[in-house]
Order: sequence, then structure tokens, then C-alpha cells
Amino acid sequence: MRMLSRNHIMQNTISSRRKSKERWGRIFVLPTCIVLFVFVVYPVCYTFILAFSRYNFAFDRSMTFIGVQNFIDMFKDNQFLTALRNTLEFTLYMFVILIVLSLAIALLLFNKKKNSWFFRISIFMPIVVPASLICILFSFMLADNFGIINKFLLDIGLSRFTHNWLTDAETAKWCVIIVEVWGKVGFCTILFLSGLQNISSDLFEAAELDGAIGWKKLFYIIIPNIRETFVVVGIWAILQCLKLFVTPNVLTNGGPANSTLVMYQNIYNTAFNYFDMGYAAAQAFILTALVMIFSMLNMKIGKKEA
Amino acid sequence: MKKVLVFVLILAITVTAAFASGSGESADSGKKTITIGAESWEINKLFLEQAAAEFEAAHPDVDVEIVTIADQTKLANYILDWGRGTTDVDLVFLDGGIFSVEYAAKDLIYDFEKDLDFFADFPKSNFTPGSLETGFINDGQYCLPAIYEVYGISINKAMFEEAGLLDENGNPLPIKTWDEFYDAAEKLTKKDSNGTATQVGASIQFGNNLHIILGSAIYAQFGDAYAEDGITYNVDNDYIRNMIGTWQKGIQNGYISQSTFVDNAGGRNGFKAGQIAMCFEAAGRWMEAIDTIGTENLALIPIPGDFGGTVCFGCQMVIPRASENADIVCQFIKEAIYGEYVQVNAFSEYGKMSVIQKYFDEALEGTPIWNGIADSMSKARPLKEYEESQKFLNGLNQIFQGGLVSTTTTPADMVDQILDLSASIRK
Repeated sequence: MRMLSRNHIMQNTISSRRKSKERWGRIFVLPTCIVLFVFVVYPVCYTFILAFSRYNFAFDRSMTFIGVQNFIDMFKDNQFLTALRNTLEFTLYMFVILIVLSLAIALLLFNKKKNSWFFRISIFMPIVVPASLICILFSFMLADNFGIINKFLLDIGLSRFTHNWLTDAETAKWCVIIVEVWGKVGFCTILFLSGLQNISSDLFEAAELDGAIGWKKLFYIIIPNIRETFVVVGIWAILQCLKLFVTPNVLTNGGPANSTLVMYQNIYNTAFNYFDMGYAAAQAFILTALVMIFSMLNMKIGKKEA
Repeated sequence: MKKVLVFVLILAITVTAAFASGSGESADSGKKTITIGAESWEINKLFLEQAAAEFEAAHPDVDVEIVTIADQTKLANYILDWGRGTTDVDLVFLDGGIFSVEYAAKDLIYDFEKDLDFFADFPKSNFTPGSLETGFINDGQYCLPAIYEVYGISINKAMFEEAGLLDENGNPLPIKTWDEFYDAAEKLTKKDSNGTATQVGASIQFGNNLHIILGSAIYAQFGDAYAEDGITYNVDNDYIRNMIGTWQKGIQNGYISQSTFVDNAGGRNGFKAGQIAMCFEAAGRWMEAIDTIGTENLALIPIPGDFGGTVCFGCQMVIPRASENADIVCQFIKEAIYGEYVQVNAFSEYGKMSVIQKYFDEALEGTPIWNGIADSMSKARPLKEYEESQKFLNGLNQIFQGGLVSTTTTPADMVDQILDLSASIRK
């Protein structure tokens, strides 16, 4: 009887301590929950409601529910369709270039043992420079009349290669892609490099003994062993490509004639220049859907190959 | 121990909150504080810090605080704040009346005449003709111009001389039509053996102020920028179709730079760098080129057209209704912004023209180059601000940037597109 009551007391003590711990746990988690609710859950819900409403906050007193009208209007709106097409085009080109180039650089760095720190720092450097600053520098370099690139070509007698880099719609697109890739390739390279370093050296030795060198080594040993890195880099690259904003905004302002206008920029203009919050919210949902579809596709392909 | 910890936390939060909550009253001895929001170029070129110091010296009971607005997108946030009846600024400088239309539409800003009786002791006759109208929005004086600018063509006289476009007195030959403008641009363009332009004849602002370019060109010809309905740009005529045609030809032949398509400063930077001979945008651009080109090589010519006028627009000031210091702010505007220091220096240093007639005359004496467009300036009128001005401007950008380089789009197509755009927006 005495033993039982002792056990009972011990159990009570443990249970009250656990309850106290749980209470403190909840208290510590609460600020994060509040922040998440205020800055994520509430805005997402509000944006969802906005997407089905007509609300220009400069002119309308209140929101008016209009069902899916914003989504119908979107697919009749040339500017939105141009932005959508440009975004998909940029995503396709940038994704492929980023993956191929960063893997190539990572392989070069992986095999280079001497002074590799110098090259690693050099390749990573653009990441630490603010994107807007990079764009301003490139806009000066690529300017038609006083840009250093055209000036250089003129000075070395190659004036036939001078060009209106940023004001010609075709080259403007490629300028945006090059600047973006230049700014982002370092991060992807570092991710690939870490993936390469995780491959066991025994595997390489065994493969070489079996005659797997060059392309064979790349396709049968390296790529299958960095599949997880591919998925991570892929998702990151897709996100970066779809949320492209700073470069076209600063470098070309979406021009010439909307040739570099992207969805993010169109959403921003609709919301903060035209104050059409309902329509901007609807476009934001389309962009979110695109991000989710592409990310899931990337994960699915990664899993399938595994 | 826990109780002590909780007590200390509550005390810290209370003290922080108490210090964080600011009001118009300064902590020391009940001083009033007025807060001014302006972009960095406005702070520098309108000498706002000197104006604040001058005002504080004359009114020791007032502190003037200046906060920098990063860019015009900050203005969108003001709509939300002011709509809730709160504000962290008492006076805001806007880069043109175009930005105030939304505030006026929602009645978030004071009408200087009806609400604040601003002109009771500061008569309208103090202002240069046309300048006050730049702040007249939605049938009310919702904005007051701090300075104003007119459109004109800045030219590089050395290049004009080389191209034989100066008369015997060294003055630029008059350019009265857009065909003459095209011919001059052609003569002023230099190309190397590969056909690459090493010097471009002209630049036109096809970027952020394209509506003013178009409006001023129409006004310079007809003396009114609008068609019979009084609100649509008067573009549906052969004169404008021909003008757009010369611009298109100029762009496609490389006589007119297209750098403003993506960089608003592309034209003026090319002009400053001595690579563009004529720069059609805000007339004050010539002053930015003094250091690189030299005053003796600079001149201003009017926009081609029979009427010879130009369009003016102002850097505007608005006071939110949420401000509790509107009276002091009005005093600040009258004494400091409309004072001699700001008005004369903004004009003579940066080409931002004085809105006060006596200072305008004073500054004009010191900078005779302005006389090149004196007649235009005397006829300067502002354009009407549409409710959806931003949409209109973006639409114009697309039409011109796409059409001017296209070999299949005709000037008539572009005019039709402008009319369609105009019909589609809220005015």
C-alpha cells in the first residue's frame, strides 16, 4: 500500500513535469506560430479572397466578389500572356543553361586540386553582390551609345559586331539570361560540388578499373550518384527562374516593348502601379501554381530515375 | 524568480513601446515636428536640408525632419496608411502630379485652396503662368508645384557647327518641322566604314515620360494637346502620323537613339557623354552636360511645331489629410520651399525652374541659354493627368517601342493603337 502510493506520487510528479514542459514548449512555439499566421497564413487566405474579387485600392471603396472573372480576363490580356510566355521561355533556357554550366564548372573544380580555393571563391563571388547592383553595372556595360562593350568593339576595329544589346528585343532576352546565369551559377556549382564530394572515391577507382572513363564515367557513375543534388538544384533553379524579377526590372524595365516582361514584374506593376489588387492576386496564384507544377515534375523525374 | 523575469519582461516591453510611439510633439519642451518625405534627388536638387535649416532657424519651436523615399512604389503604401487615417509624413514630394491622382480620387490629401486656404496670404499672382496648373488634379488644387520643368531640345553646338547647322552668328538654325528634325539628325549622325554609328543625331525620351513627349509635340503644333472631346490626345491627324513616321525612319536608320527604350537615362547620358547631338526631353538636361561639354557648346531649341509651345510638369507637394500639422507645413512651403534660396538655386544649379515669378526672372538673368526656348516657356501648359495614367504610359511605351523598330507597323497603325489604348483606360 505504501509502495503503491509512492509510485502514484512519482507518476504524478513525472506527469506534472511533463505537463509543465509541454506548456513551456507551447509558449516557445507560440511566437513562431503567430509570425507564420500573420505573415503567411493570413496573407495567403486574403490573397485567395482577393483573387476572386474586383478591388482597385486607389479607386474602389471595397472589394466586389466577381467569381473567376479575373482568371478569365487574364487569358484575354495580351500583357499577361506575353509575361507568361516570356517567363516560361526564360525558365526553360535558364534552367538548362544553369544546370549544364554549373555541373560542368563543378566537375572542373572537382578535378582541379591546385589553387581550387581561388576558383571556388571566384565562382561564388557574384552571389554576394546585390542583384540590383549587378544589373546596373551590366546596363552600363551593355548601353548602346556609351557602353563599354560597344566601345571596346569599336576600339579594336570590330565595329560591325557592335549592337543595341538591350534595345533589340532578341538580344535583350539573352542579356537577361546571361546576367541571371552569371549571378546564380556559383550557388548551383557549390551544390553540385558538395554532391560530387560525397561520392565515394572507391567507386571512382572501381569504375576506372572497369574502364569507365570520360563520358562513361560522367553518365554511369557521376550523374546517377548525384541524383539527390540534381533534385535540390533543380527545384532551386526552377524557383529562381520563375520568380525572375530584379534583372528584367533593372536591366531592361521589361522592355523593349514588353519583350522581357516576366510574370513577377507584371504582378508587381498590376498591384503597385495600377493598384489593381484583385487582378494581381489572381496572377500571383497562377505563378504559384506554375512553381508547384514544375517543382513536383522535377521531384517526380528525380524519383523515377532513382 | 519566474515572477521577477516576467515583471522585467513586461517592464521592458512597456518602456520600449512608450519610446517607440512617436507623435508630432517632440520630447523636449513641446517642440512641434514636421516630417517631409522626398526622394533623394528631390532632397539634393531642391535643397531641402537647407530649406529645413532655414525654417528651423526662423521658427525655433519647430523641428523639420526629412525622410528619404526609396522610390515611387513607397507611394502605394501611403494610400493604405492614409486610408486608415494615419501617416508618418506631413508633406510628400511627388515626381509629378501623375502620382497624386489616386490620392485625390480617394480624398486622402488636402485641397490647398478649398481646405487650407493657402492663397489667402500667398496670392496666385506670385506664381509663374502655368506652373500652378501642374498641380491642379480632379478639379482641385491637390498639389502644389515645388519647381516645374518644361520640355525642349538640348543640343550640342559643337556637333551642330561641324554639321553646318549653325548660322553666321553661331546660333542653331531653326528646326520648325519634324522633317527638318529628321534631316538635322541625319546630318549629325556619324557612321564608320561598317555603317556603325559613332555619333547619333538625336535622342527622344521613349521611356518614362513618353506621354509628355507626345503631348508636348502635339501642343507645339496645335496649341492644344487634346482632340475635340477635350481629353483624348489629338493624334488622329496627318501631322502626327507624319511625325511618328519621321521618328520611325530615324530609329530604323540609326539617326535617333533607341537607348531610352530600356533606360530612362540612356538619352541624357549619351548626350552628356558627347555621343548624341540632340536630346528631346526635360529642357534642363543641358545643365547636366556643362561639365562634360561646356556651357559654350550647349543650347536649347524649341520643339518643332507651328504654335511653338511646350508642356510643363511639376515636382509636386501634397499634404495628407491624416497629418495634424497642415498649418505649419503650409508655412514651411511659403517660407522655405517658395523662398529665394530654394527657388533660385534649384533653377540656376539644376535647371529646375522656379514657380515663383520674381525668382524665375532673377534666375533667368543668370542663365541666358534658357532664352532659346523663352517663347515656348511663356506658352507652357500642363497635360491632364488621367486616373489610369500609369496604364496609359505603359501602353504608349509598348506601342512606340514595338512600332518604331517594326518594318510592318505603319504610323497609322500606331495612331490606331494609341486611340484604342486611350479608349480603354479610365480618365
